[in-house]
Amino acid sequence: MIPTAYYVLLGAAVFCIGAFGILTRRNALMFLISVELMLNGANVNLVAFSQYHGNLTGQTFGLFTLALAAAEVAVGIGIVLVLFRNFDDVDVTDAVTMRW
Amino acid sequence: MAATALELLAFGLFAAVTLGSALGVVLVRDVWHAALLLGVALLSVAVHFVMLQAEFLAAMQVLVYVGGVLILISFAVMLVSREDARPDIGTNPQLKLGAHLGRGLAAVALFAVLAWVVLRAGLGAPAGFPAEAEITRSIGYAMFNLDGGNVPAEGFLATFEIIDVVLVAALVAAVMLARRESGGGVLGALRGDGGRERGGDER
Repeated sequence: MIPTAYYVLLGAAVFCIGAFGILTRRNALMFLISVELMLNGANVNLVAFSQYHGNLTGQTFGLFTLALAAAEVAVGIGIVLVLFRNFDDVDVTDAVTMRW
Repeated sequence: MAATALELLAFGLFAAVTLGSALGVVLVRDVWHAALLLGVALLSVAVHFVMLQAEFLAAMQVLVYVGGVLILISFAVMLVSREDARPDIGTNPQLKLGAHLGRGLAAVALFAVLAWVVLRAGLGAPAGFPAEAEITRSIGYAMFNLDGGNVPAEGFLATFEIIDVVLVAALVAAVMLARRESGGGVLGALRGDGGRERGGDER
């Protein structure tokens, strides 16, 4: 079996790539996509430690993470569509009406 | 149990696919290409799940992420694309060294800290699941606090019910967000001009 540390490093790398995407992009859709990447990195960790301990708690929790990610995308897409309708763009820096 | 050379080779290849497509997701300029590359990344993560003895989770990853989330994202990409999109933007990954340098260094520093912690933790060889383990069946039992599986796991009945409520709330919220405020018509963005003309919803 592959050492667990490799998978944890892989998950950390995917998470950091997602964080980089959130820091650099201004498109609201890219935010959603980057969050999906970060959630997947966390999921890799959960499953890797599930195998490390021979215990299914991590895998079961990974399933819940999947369900939450789907719900998050459904709401996120709704917000992106409202953003596009109100500001004619999906640039998150355009939405300044709530700033003071 | 040590990893065989074949296992390491498979892990290395698919880790390269995962990292490469994930980097592509955040570096390409075109959102549509980013969404497609996200599909590649999600599928390769499903492969990692299979190698981690999580076959059911791998199937769910393909069904929920690639079949559901990715379709939703590409749907949104189609809805918010505009005619005056800039065709001069190429499809190659671009790294703007000036503007992205600080943020890239922040991400790399985060990874360095995480990697330092992981490597210092001294994780040994994984225990793994025995050959006679019924993983999918045990997950099903663990979700409902039942003692039927032959692999140990905590009970998740409360979590299951909470996720249940969260899913309903999220779907209702998505429908609420998609409605127009004035006319009360459902999903104005899906009709006609794709919701591009503001105020064109009083039909």
